[in-house]
Amino acid sequence: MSELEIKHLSKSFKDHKVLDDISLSVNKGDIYGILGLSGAGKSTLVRCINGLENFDNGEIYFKNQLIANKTLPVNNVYRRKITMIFQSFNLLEQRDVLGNVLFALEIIKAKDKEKKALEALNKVGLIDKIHNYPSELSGGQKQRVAIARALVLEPDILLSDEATSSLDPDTTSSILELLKKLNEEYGLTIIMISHQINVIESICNKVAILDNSKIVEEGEMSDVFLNPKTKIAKDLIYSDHVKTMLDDKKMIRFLFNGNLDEPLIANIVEDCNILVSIVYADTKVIDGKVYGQVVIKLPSSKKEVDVLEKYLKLHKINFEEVNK
Amino acid sequence: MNFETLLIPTLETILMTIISTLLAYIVGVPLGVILSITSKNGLKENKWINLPLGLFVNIMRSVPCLLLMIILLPLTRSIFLKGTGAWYTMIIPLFFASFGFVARIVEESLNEVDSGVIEMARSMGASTTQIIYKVLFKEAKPSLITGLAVSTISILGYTAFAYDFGAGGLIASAYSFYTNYTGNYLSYPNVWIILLVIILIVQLIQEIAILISKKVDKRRKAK
Repeated sequence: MSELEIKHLSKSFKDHKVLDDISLSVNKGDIYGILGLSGAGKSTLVRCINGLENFDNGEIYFKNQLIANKTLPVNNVYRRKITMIFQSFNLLEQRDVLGNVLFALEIIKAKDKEKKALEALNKVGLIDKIHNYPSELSGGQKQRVAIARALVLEPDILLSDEATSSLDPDTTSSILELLKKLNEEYGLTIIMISHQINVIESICNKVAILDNSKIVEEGEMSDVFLNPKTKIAKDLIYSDHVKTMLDDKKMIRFLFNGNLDEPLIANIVEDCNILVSIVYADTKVIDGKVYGQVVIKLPSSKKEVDVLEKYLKLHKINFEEVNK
Repeated sequence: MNFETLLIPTLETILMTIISTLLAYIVGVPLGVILSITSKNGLKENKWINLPLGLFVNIMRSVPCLLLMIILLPLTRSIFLKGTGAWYTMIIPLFFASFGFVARIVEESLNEVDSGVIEMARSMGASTTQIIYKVLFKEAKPSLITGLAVSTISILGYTAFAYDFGAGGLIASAYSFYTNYTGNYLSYPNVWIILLVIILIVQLIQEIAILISKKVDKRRKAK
């Protein structure tokens, strides 16, 4: 069942169209990535989903029920089912950690506030910091407080607006790990807005690529990332680094989405007796699984290329040729 | 100069200042809130409220204090049955001369609150009232407290005009000493003692405000 469905959403600021006929469908349990460069319209889209912004055309459905169109913005009931975390954390500086989580419950005048807040803080691993103030926390800890504050409203969907963009790589991984855990353990649907390819790549199962106010590609993560069709998608997926290094030789690209636990490159060398050189690699290990991408330069002899391709197909390894 | 001739004008000055400040805040705080939230990109952006209100506040601030006081004499008279001659007749003109200033000081403090935090509260469906009380006032508290000190000290400065209306206070007391001992008034301690008392009052207001502001501010609390 679709958890959130956006149909033909459009929005303009004066003459400038920021969102142009956006349609996408997020299922329960998805971690849905929305990838795009800055200015592509990502933030406006997420603000429309949360009702912070009105739009000119289209509809938003939540669990197949219409919750917003051009005349009716998302109301408070649904805002609390679709909660948000932000790039700048947006914590109340004058309240301690517990107070920040309680804030969400005060807004809805909930019962058993303290108990619920402590449960949420326990989920994000901050139970020993409840009386600290934001100024005493690291960036990662601040984002955990923000996540707890979003969770305490018991949302169905968590909207993450560049939530890891101001964090260092290690902290980013730990926040992504936490989001993944919340997704797996509590079935939380997550919509991740990011301009960072590795963030989307490491936890999303679906992705939409937004460029110039339009969705240019959309689908299962592996489909889109292994076979990008549009120029912008290719640009995003193969970093500039790779583009400049492409020459007339063939190159292929592997995407690791956590399903491989063998040393791939070593196996190619060992089993096929082919020497390959790595042109570009960007992988990381999360929960003992490898995520990321590797681009290798193929050997020059035709025979060796055939052997390698056969080998990869036999082992059901996703790969694609990198074109200029 | 005995203790009593110093104490009474001191009390007059302090009472004028405190009561006028209080009244100026009762009116200035709501005005400051309205100015802040109706401003461009504010919580409830509305230029039809913001522009006229801002203009009104600016006009009130630009009228010279003494002129405003003269214009307000009939009003003061209708309230206190006399327009001049007692410390409390200063309350009305001081209030009118300062609430616009207070409104701007409050507006400044509220505008300092991070817009991201307000956005967060809106994303949770917080009402405007909830945002004003739970976000704006709470997050701006340290700045509002130092603003209160700035306002109080500036109103204290306005109390000098009490001399012109025979309404007492420290400055009037210094001036009447001058008129009695014109030739050598500075060789007596009286004017210097008055100066010292005023400096002490200003210092006290400033330092207490800074102390409280630091105490309530959780932003720079060292671990």
